[in-house]
Amino acid sequence: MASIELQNVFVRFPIYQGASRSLRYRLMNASTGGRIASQNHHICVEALNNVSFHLDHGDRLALIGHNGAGKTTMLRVLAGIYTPEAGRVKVEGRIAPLFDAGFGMDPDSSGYENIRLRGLYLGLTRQQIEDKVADIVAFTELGPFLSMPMRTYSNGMQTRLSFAISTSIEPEILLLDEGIGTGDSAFIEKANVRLHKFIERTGILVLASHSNELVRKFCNKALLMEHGRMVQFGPVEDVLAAYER
Amino acid sequence: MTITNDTTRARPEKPRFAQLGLADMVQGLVRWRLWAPLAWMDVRQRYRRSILGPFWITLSLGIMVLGLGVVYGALLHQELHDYLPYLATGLIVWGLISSLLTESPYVFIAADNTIKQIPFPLSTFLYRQVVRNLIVLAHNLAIYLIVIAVFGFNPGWIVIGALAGVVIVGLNGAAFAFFFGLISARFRDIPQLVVNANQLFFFITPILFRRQTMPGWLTAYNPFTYLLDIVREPMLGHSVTLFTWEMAVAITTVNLAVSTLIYVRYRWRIPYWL
Repeated sequence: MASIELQNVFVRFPIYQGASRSLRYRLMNASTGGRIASQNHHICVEALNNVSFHLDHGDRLALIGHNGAGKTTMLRVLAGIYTPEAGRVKVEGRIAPLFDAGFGMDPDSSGYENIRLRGLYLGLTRQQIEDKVADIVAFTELGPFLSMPMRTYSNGMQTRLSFAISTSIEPEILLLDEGIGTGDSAFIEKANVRLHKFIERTGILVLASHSNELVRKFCNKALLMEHGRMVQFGPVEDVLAAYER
Repeated sequence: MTITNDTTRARPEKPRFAQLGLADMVQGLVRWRLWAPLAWMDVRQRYRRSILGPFWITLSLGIMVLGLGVVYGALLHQELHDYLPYLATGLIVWGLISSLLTESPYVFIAADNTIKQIPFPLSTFLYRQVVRNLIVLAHNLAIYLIVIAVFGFNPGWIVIGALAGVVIVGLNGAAFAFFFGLISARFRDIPQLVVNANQLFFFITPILFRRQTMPGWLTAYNPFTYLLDIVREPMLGHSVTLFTWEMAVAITTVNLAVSTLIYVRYRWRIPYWL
């Protein structure tokens, strides 16, 4: 059973700008001895500030809040990309982040090669990948194009392929950053159906979104964030009411 | 997000981070099914749609050997049949060492996009870089074969010893990448520093000149002298002295130990810095 547990999680980004990021700053700082009061006075952005919550199998959580509220950072912490500076993150279940459907594709490799490459990035075994190829091929409707380098594809075709690969896996926990593009209009309906099935298959969904419509459709819980802090956590209607007020 | 002047930075417990860093090094290594094809892809991509393809690597080294060979052979009063094999093998091995060194600061910086998209053992990118450079070395061996054919010398079975040398150099390349890859993510001056150091070492390491023509201290305290010799000497049909092996193993041990310690301690910070 999938579950997610966050306890007093803190994430702070040190800001290094220009000279302060370089070695010169460090060296000059040392050589001029104590001109700057304390080296521990870094400028930091608090991206997550004391966040705690618990999710169980079947939970569909929406992360809502203004730009810069910490939604993306939260997704990356859940994915295990950022290790929090302090606090505990306990995730049980196979996790799949889907932030940018197009990452890790090689334009000079064929569609088939890209399916395998992406599968390896996602941590699948050779056999697991081969089992999925037929399904992916059928969904993209790209036929003979899959044997050609991806560089020759139109934008829409590339999106079809990356979307099909990304949604072919069976994660127990799905992390979605809103609006993964789905190509031309004829394809959108088909893509939506696939996306819904994909989401329904997973044990836990965490979705970062600005679209209240999307949130109501998919989620039963919501977390309202502001400046990296939790403002409200609870049933989706209550939290949305607070957000819209 | 709130901008604060951070004075109350919470000190995280160390062991957990160290565990993460160590797991990263091992889990990356296990994913050879990913880094091996990626390394091939890198080489292919660099020369895509060119007629010679990756053999441009071979050709450009060949041109360099010829050019430097004629000029420095005359300058240093060397016989070409003696000097060219020495120079060619030196440049082949130095090509491996120096590209491992100069590419090392970019292993994580160049992969920042992927690193922020998906949880991943970061060391995967590092093994990819080392393997990519070994593939380039394999292409350069064509020059070695040409030199053997043209000058008609036979290195004998001792040449197999060069493989052990390549393994040692590869381990050092991995250590460079763990170390410079990590600190370059934080301090962006490091890549430039490494490029300049690399250039300096090209001139003070016995590649163009022979070791005995220079003051001893210049080469004796240069770690690259030993790393170069353990591969080049067998290629020329000479045996490697025990002292050279001892030095090479000592250098590798220190290099690996320092870089592992740093990496294991600060690995968790890399995504924050990118």
